[in-house]
Amino acid sequence: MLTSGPVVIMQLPEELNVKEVDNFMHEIGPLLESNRPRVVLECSQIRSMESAGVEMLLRCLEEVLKRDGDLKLAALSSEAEVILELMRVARVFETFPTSEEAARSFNAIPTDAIPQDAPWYSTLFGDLGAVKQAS
Amino acid sequence: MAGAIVIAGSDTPVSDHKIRAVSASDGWDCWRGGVASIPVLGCSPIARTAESLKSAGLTRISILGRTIWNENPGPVPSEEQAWLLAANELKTCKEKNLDAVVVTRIGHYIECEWQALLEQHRKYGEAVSRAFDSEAPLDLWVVDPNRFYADGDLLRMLQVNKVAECAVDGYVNRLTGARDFRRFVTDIFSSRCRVRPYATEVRPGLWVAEGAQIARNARVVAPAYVGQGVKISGDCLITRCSTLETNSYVDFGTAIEDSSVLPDTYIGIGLDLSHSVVDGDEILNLHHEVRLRISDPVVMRRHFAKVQHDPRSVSVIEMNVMALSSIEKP
Repeated sequence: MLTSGPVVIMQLPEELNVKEVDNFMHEIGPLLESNRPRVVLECSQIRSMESAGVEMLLRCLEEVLKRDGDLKLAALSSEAEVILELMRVARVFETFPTSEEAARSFNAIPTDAIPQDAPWYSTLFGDLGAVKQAS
Repeated sequence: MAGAIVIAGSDTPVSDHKIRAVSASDGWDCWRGGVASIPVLGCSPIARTAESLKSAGLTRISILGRTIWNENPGPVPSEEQAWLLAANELKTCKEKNLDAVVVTRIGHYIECEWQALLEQHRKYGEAVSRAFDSEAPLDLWVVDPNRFYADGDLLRMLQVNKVAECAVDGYVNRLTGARDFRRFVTDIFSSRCRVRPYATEVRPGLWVAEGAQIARNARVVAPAYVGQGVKISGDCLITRCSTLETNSYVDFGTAIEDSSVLPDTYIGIGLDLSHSVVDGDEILNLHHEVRLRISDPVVMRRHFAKVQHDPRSVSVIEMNVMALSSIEKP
């Protein structure tokens, strides 16, 4: 079974307060419930973020990981970086300088080509049979 | 006999703590003059300057402008008003038969042998001498009130008047923004200047003022300063030249590294604060060069004072509170 949708890039609003978080969750909700969601959140517009915003990012990450997808942050504004560092969550997310780079990073290991029944290490070590033969 | 006029006025309303109230066009790292009033390891640069002038034997010291944080600050002159007041004060100095008056505009911190500076001025024989450090002229003049007449804008007249140049080879910090402010803190810890924290050195490099409460399982690693009435909850880590000024409160599990927390600031639970200056709900981050306001009060907020200022600085503070008046030695 081959499963993977397109990489979806979404822009976060300038202010991530409780109200904006509700709006954004409403928007992103269906995407998070899809199979293996691949999401890039573009953060260049962020000027302020409340703890509700940080919580939302963590909730989104949790949801996509549950469904075997991934969430990456791109083009973080200085404000967003300071807040994520302050809240000790900066290292939880994979971050990229641009959305394009973040989107490309999903294809670093082409998930399309990995059948669901392949062993977990197949993406890491490739063909173990070939390695054994060489040795 | 000599006196001093210290200009502490600023266009910035310093009523609520200085680092705010600057427009975005001023840039992220701009404090516009209020910085000299911010306590650094227990005492503001302006109070320290006043103290050093006093101990150098200057007989009349006038401080024009508000100089410390205070619940009832009274009227605060703008910088322009402060210079007008300074011109009047210079006339009073003439009436009191002072032969030299140090006029300084506090935005910087200068360590200077005041008597040596006065000697240099007298030796050169000009009506006005201006101090220079190795980089540029400083906002520090010595004026002979009997030979210099200022009818209004004293600053302009000092700038256009022919001056003798006096070299200052002591410590100078121009305190133009958060970087200079943090440099001042690290210079104090590493003894690059004469300033000493207003606290007791409980271990080498670790200064704790009276009334500070540090939880048993909190770690405060030198060099660090914990001011009067500061509360540090359990599992916190304070390190790398961090300073917690009077009445600030660091809540459970937070790490503070290479940062200054200004008075009456609450820092929330489980945070990681580094390379920053925090004042209430505002952060200036030196690493990312950004200033931002935290709107979430559980993260950071103004934490109102319950403890009074350090009694050891009372003499200076009393002088400062007088703001628009002058003091004279008996």
